[in-house]
Amino acid sequence: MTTTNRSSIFAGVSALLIPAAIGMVFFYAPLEKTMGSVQKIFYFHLPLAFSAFLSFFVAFVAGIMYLRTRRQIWDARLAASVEIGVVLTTLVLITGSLWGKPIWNTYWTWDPRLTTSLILWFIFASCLILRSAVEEEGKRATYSAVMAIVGFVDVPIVFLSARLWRSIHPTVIRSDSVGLESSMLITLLACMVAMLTFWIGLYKFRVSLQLQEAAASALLNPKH
Amino acid sequence: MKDTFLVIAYMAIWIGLSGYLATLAHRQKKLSLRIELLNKRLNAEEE
Repeated sequence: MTTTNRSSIFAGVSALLIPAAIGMVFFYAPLEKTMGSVQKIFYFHLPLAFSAFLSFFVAFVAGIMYLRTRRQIWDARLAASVEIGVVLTTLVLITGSLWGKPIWNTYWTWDPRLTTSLILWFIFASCLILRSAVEEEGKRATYSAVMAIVGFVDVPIVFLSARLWRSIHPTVIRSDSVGLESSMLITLLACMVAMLTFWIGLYKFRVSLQLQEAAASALLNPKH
Repeated sequence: MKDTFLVIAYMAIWIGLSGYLATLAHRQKKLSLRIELLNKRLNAEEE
């Protein structure tokens, strides 16, 4: 089975799971007492953030593996996961701002969780800019591998920021419990599964595209 | 008011993700054209 076929399977499954998850958000999950309907942003805000962290973790592993093996496949995996991670982090920041406005009365505040998330976005967006700026394949792969490894340091900081420092950002997943009612938790898990399935399909498709682009580019411009 | 933010947020998510998918599909299409060009070049060289 080819990578494109596998990514199509994941895309097909997520095309079924995502509408089902959205249905659960609006028709199964109860309305939160204090925040009301706007709290329903949470059901995709958290899976988007989790998928973004997963992307940066894959980029971190791919960076290490590239520096150890110098194989092109690891650079392709790194490029794919960084790009997906930046897209997902952008959506996390947008949905967070839209959730913050009616609850905190502001789109943005320099809260530790928000600030560290923005720094994470800047680090990996810079990695994408760096990749487009360096033409030499080997140098581009090495620089972005180093950047992905160093940039990943911010991921645990983002995760722990709301626990370590005074933050107004809610902490749902605690070390001893999950602060959600059972029907809310089931909906969140459904959204998480739908988002992760989508992520796998997207990642596989993006990696195969990266490899094909590299192969075509090498054939068209044999000098590089 | 809260409903508006909820709707905008969900629209942002799905417009964002489908926009990204459309960009990838466009890149795939461009790549197919490049491969076609490469095939033509190789055929011309063989001839």
